[in-house]
This record gives sequence, structure tokens and C-alpha cells, in this order.
Amino acid sequence: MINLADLPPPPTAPYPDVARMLDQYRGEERGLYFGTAVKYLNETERLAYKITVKEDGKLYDAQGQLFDTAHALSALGSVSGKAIFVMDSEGNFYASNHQPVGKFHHSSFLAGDSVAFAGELDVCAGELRELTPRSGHYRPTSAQQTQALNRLSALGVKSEFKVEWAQS
Amino acid sequence: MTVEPKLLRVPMYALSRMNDIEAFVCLAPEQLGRLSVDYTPREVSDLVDALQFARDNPTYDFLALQPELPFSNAQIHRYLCAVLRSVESALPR
Repeated sequence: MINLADLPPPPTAPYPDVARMLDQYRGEERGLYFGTAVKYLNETERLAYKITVKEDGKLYDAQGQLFDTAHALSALGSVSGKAIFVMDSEGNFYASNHQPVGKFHHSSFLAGDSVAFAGELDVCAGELRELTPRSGHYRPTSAQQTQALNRLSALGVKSEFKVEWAQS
Repeated sequence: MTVEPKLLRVPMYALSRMNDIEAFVCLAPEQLGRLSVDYTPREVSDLVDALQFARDNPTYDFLALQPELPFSNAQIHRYLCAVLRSVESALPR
């Protein structure tokens, strides 16, 4: 016999406030939205996009190099110099400078699953310079943005950076 | 020739973060340089077909492809024509 009250509570994600991908994009990985197939990464592929913060407070890519968004660009997107990024509900960050419209979007990182935050990063030699909430796929809230900023602070990001806030 | 109008969502995606659509003249040279990196020759060809369809059908309901855009159908049509001119100028002759 098991008394349910004696069981430990189910594990909860550290960042449970998540944004769902807008319904209009469902099926985009099969070409249903853009007419081109959006890449959805699996767990192994995702690791190549993981961003970490080291003791120096700077952002590093999956190869251990200082992350830099100077060359972030897409042919038919905006000329931004910003990487797209998401934070998952565990507080992991994934980012990409390569973001061809119709082929790689915020939804690519977690294969269309919900995110704790999505936006853009402007990073120079590992130093975060700007963070925005711009994501057409997720439209994150200011509360979700706050949890991403708290996570970056907890990870030890040291630089002062500009923040463009979400509308809600 | 079969045209996929939903392919127009690819160039239209940038409009969601564009403040002044009237100021758009052409794609930047560095963007045009990325075309063959971001897309296969077949995809570029299909995009050009879709943009030519847009140019030739100004009354098509472009806004229905991305209804949240704060622009008129005529503005989107002009933008798509400008994108087409840019892309065609970058294609090998």
C-alpha cells in the first residue's frame, strides 16, 4: 500500500513559466507554414548550440570559443548582428548566428516545444551587450524575460547590457 | 509553373520587425551574399517564382499570409517587388 501523501512531490522545472509556440507555426518542420522545412534539432544536435557562462562572466559557444554575434545575418531576414536564442525550462541557453528564414528559427532549438524565454542576443567577444524579447514564434512575456535575466545573473554574467523589454 | 504563395512568408517574415516599410529599398549586399548559403538553388528558384507571382498579382491578399503585420496590402506588394529586384540582381545571368 502506498500513501500518496508520503511520496516526494514531482520534480518541477526550475523555470516553469513557459511560452508556447504560436499555433500558426505547427507543421513548419514539414514545410506547412513557410513552404520550406524548418529544422527541428534533436537532443544531440541541440548540444552544438549550447551557450555557457564561464567564471569570467562571458558567454562561450559549444566549442568553448567566446561567443560573438557580429556576423549574425540571414539573407531574407533582418540585418541585425544578433543571434537568436532560447532558454529552456531547466535554464539552459541555446543560440545561433545562422538563422535563415524558413529554415532555422527560435522553434528549431527545442523542436517546437515551449521555452522559458526566446529572444535575441548581441554579444561581442563573449560580452553580452544587448538582450531583446523578439521572437515571432513565441512572443515571450516580461515575466519570462525576467526569469531569463535572473538566470543569466545567477550564472555570473558580469557585463552591463541593454535590455529591450517585452510588451506584457 | 506551380507557385507556392506561402513561400512569400519567407521574405515577409522580416516585416514583423520593420518599422518603416516605405524606407525599404533593397536587400543589403551582405544579405544577397548569403542567399546561396542559406538556400539551395532550387529553393532560390522557387522563391523567385513566388516573388514574380507577387509582382504580377498586386491584388493578391498578401496580408492573409501574415495577418498581424501593420502594413497595407499595397505596401507589402511594393516591398515584395523590391525584394524580387534585389534577388534578381544577385542571380547569375
